[in-house]
Amino acid sequence: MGMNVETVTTAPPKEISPSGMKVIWREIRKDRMAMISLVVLGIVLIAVYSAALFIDKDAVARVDVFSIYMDPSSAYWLGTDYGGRDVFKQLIIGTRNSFSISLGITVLTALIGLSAGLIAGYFGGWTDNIIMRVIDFVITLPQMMFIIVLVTIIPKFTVTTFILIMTLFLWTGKARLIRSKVLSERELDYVHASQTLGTPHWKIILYHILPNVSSLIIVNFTLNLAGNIGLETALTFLGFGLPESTPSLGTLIAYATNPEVLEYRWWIWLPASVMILILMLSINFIGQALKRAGDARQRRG
Amino acid sequence: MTLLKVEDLKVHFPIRGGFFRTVVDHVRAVDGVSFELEEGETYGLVGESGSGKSTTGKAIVKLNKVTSGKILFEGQDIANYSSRQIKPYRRDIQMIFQDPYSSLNPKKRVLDIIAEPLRNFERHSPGEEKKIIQDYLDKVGLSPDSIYKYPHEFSGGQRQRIGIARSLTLKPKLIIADEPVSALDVSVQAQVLNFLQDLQEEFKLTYLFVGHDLGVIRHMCDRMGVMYRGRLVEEGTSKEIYNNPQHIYTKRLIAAIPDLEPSVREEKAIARQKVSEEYEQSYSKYFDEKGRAYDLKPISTTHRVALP
Repeated sequence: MGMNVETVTTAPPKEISPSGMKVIWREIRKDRMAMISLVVLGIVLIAVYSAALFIDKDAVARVDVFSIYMDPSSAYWLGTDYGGRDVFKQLIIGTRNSFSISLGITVLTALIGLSAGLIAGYFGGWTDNIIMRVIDFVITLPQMMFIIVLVTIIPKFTVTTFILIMTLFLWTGKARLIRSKVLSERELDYVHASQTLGTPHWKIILYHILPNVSSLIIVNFTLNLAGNIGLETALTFLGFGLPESTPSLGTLIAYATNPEVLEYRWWIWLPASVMILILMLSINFIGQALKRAGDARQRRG
Repeated sequence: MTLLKVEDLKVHFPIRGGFFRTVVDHVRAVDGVSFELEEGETYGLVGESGSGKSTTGKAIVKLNKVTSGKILFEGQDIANYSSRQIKPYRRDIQMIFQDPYSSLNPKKRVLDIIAEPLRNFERHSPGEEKKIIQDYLDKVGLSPDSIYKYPHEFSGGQRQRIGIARSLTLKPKLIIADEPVSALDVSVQAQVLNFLQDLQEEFKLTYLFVGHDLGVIRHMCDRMGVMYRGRLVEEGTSKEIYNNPQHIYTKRLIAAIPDLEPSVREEKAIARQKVSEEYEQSYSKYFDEKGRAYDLKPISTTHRVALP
C-alpha cells in the first residue's frame, strides 16, 4: 500500500496496527539510539537465553570451598563469589531470570489490567464502580510490607511465585490507564454504530476498541518492562527477593553489601550492574521510539 | 401502513448531586414526543441544538435508554426490549451517523466495516461476501477496488457513503439518518441527499431524517415535526410547515432561512424583525408556566400545533 507523507499526516493520530507495524519500524530506523538499542538488546537476549541452555543450574548454585573468591581467570571468567560459585555463569542465568521475571510480570499485569480496564471502561456504571473500588483498595495497601511478609511466609520461593506476588500489586496502574482511554473511545460513533449493527459487546470490545487502544498498550508495555527489571533487582538487593540458589542480577549486586567485595572485587557486582543499565536503557530507548510512533505529531519518520 | 409509531416517548437523564450522589433532578431531553411514520415516507425532525431530535433518533435504535413511552415498530413495542430481544429488529432499523470521521473505525478496512452487519446476521463465504460488498460500494458510487483501503484514505463525502453502504447491507425497512450531511460541504450534501432519495426508491426505504438545516429537510421530507426543548411544537406536511407555520417557534425558525435573492432582502429583513417582535411579546402565550410546550392539537387533518 503506497502511503505517501500526506495521507500519514492527515490520518488520525493513533495508528499502530496493522499498517502500524510499518510505522513503528520506520520510527525505530529513523532514531539511531533506538536502532542501536534494538540490536544490543537482541544480541544480549539471544546470547543469554541460548547460553543458559548449556549451563547446569545446579552446578552453578553448588558451593565449592576450594575456589572461594578467585580472581578472574580462564576457568572462571569473572572469578568466584564467597561460596566458590562461578560469577560469569551466575551472570548469564541471573540475566535470564531477571528478564524473564520482568517479562512475566509485565505480561500478566498487562493481561489483567487490560481485561479490567476494558470491561470497566466499556460497560461503565455499576461494573465500573465495583472494579474501580477494588483497584482503589489494592492501591491503598502498603505494597512493600505485603511483599516482605509474603516473601517471608512462602516456604518455597521461586521465580514464579515472585512474578505472581508482584502482579498482585502492579496490575492496577494499567487497568486505570486503559480504562481512561476506553472511556473516551466508547463515546465515538463507530462504537455506537457497531451496537446498532447488532455486534455483541465482547466483539466490540475485542475487535473494535482493543485495536484502537493498542498503541497505548504497546508503549506502556515496553516502558514497564524496563521498570520491572529494576524492581526485581531492588527487592533482591534488599534481601526480599530471590534466594541465592536462584541467581539473578539482584543477588549478584547484593554481594556488594560486603565492603570487601565492593572495594576489591568489582568483577562480582559491576558486570551485573552494567547489564541492568544496558537492559533498562535499551528497552527505554525502544519504548520512546514506540511512543513517538503512536503519536503522528511526534513522529520523526 | 404505519411502520413506526412513537407514543409519548420520554428520555430523561438523571442529574446527580449532593453528598451521596443521589438523583436530584432530570434533564428532560425528550419529554413526551409522539409521531408516526408511514411506510416509504420521509419524516423530518427539526429543531435547534439540544432540542432532543438526535436523542429521539438514538432512542429508537436503543442507543439511549427510554424512560417511558412506547416505540411501536410494526406493531411491536420495542421500547423496553433487552439487547437479546432487540437483536432481530436491528436488521430492520439502521442508523446513519452524523460524523463520517468518527463513525468508521480507523483500524478497519472498508471491507470489514461494511461486512460487519452481514457477519452478525448472515453466513457467507468470503468470496460471496466480497461480491456483496463490492455491489453495495458500486451502488453508493465508490470504486469496488477500494475494499482494502482504510477510512482515512477517503474524503468526508466518501466516508459518509461508506457509512450509508454499511447501513444498507441488511436491507433495513427504516433508516434513521442523524444529520447525515451536516458534516459535509454543500456540493457534496446535494450529492448525498439525491443519492439517499434514489436509494429510497430502489429499496423502498422509510427515513426518519434528523436535522437542523431547514433547506435540507424541505428537500427531503414529506412530513416533518418541529422540536423545541424536548417537545414537538408543530407537526405537519412540509408544505404546511413552510407556508403556514402556526407556532411562534416554527415561525421564527422559518423566518431565519436565508434568501439568495438580493431584491427581496429588505423585505425579508422587515418580516424577520416582525416575527422577532412577535416572538418576544407572545412567547409566554405558547408555553405553560413551566416553560413547557403544550400538547399538540390538530388544526387540520395533517397539521398539529402545540397551542393552549
